[in-house]
Amino acid sequence: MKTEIIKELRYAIRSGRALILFASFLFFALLTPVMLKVVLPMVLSGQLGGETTQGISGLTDMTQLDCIRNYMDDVLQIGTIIIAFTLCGLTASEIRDNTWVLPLCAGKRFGRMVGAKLLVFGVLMVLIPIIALLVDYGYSGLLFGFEIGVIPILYGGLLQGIYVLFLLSCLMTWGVIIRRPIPAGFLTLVTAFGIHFISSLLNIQRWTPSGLLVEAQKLMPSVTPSLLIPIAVTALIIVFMTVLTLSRLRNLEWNVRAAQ
Amino acid sequence: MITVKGLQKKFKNFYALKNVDMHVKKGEIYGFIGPNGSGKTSTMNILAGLSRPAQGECTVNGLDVTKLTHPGDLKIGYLPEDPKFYPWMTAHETLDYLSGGRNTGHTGEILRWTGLLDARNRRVGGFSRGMKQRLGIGAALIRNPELLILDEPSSALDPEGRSEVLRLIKDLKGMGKTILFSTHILDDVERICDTVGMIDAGQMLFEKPLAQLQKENTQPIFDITPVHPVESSILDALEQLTGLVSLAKSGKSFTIKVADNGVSVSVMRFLADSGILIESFSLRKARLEDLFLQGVNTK
Repeated sequence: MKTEIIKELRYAIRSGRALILFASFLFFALLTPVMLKVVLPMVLSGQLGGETTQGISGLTDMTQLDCIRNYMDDVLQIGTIIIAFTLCGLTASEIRDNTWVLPLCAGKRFGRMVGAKLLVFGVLMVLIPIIALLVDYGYSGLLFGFEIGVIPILYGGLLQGIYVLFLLSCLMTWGVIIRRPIPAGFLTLVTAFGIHFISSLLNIQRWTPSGLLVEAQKLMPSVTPSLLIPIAVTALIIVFMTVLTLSRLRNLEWNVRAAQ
Repeated sequence: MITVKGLQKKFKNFYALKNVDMHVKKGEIYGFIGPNGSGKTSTMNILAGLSRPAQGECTVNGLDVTKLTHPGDLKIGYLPEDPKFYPWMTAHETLDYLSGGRNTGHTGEILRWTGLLDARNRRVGGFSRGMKQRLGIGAALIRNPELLILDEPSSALDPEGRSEVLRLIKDLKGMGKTILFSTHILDDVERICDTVGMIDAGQMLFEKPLAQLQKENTQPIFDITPVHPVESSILDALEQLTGLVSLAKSGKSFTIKVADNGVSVSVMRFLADSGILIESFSLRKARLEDLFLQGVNTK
């Protein structure tokens, strides 16, 4: 599996996918504290005539914790869209462009090819939210003063990362079903936002991957059922999606002209 | 190496393959010819384990393709019509990836043999069509297979690239490999093949050793170009001439196939008697192209 992993690492780096994802998350991590500390008071002072920016800052009473939670909220709305469209071709492009034909004939197995994608992009997608959250923590700490330790941040970033793994497995499954990258990205968004919306409406978030986001935002590391249930559910969904992906791949016909 | 019997392939309501029989013997170069859309790629996809047949028996390398769970189990080399590589990988990385990093010596040997050694560290995205085709042949050889299935390996190449690919295929035969390759360039088949199989509209028209095919079709062919276009009534009368097998018109020229050289005297006499001035008159033997056109037209 070493060559498959190296191949995916090269793809992540040379296609610019890793850079796009890292830069996007980092952008929000740096932007949120500035927005809340500088831009928001300026906008409000413009609307509430007579009040100074410092006065408005005092009124909004923003803290580092508020800033981090704001970032986590933003990044999982816009970040989900960025992830979906940056990685929508993970499996769909391989099928559509027939790039898997030669590896298959050379004896490469689906399990290893898909496994390498999950591993490389999974590690990347766990690391990026953690790093971005650490950056946001540091920068918001400098602007608002440090309020919490690093451990809750690592905990929150890890939970976000696990949620992103769920997105990754969705992208791979929709990719092999639809075989077109952009529709696979759209369907992943529909799946992720659909689950989020319905589970919020029915108050069953802890039974869905969205429960991880709720737990992440608490920034309180503790092993409770409200943490273990969404982790177990997400893991089960990821396993199910991977099995579905592999089973679909085994039944596909390859190198067939598009019209057929 | 390959035995195919009654092979059928269906796409929705369309039968791409209706009834294909094929036998490829060990150590030979088998030329699989047919017009575009005749079913060559569909057949080769099935033989490579990439596609499933609707019906029929198909044994490749001693394995029943219909019961195959993974194309890699066939242990053959396959080159698709348009081989797709990762453009961001170099030639060396591509072969290393396909080999699973197992045999770096063999990878270097393939790069040298395909003439890509100097370009080994260049990204495949910048390769010419010919270079990609040679890399594709190299990729097909990565597991050192005994059987190679090459789908139109020379079709989209310039004359130089074509000659290079044909040289590689000939070299492969010298190494003891069995090669099945499809093409619609009949000159390529005449240059390197031992056996020829022709398919049209999903059905095999014939399958014969090239030497036998050439022996069976030794009737002379006259390519005649008159100074002025010939009236159709004269051509109709010419067609009735004893010993004349067929007549095909192309512009003001016409091609006639006769039973033997002796008929040429009657042909020339007929043309002289009809007052037709001749610009050129050449005699040649039937070529694969004539058989191909005959096969396609008689269907």
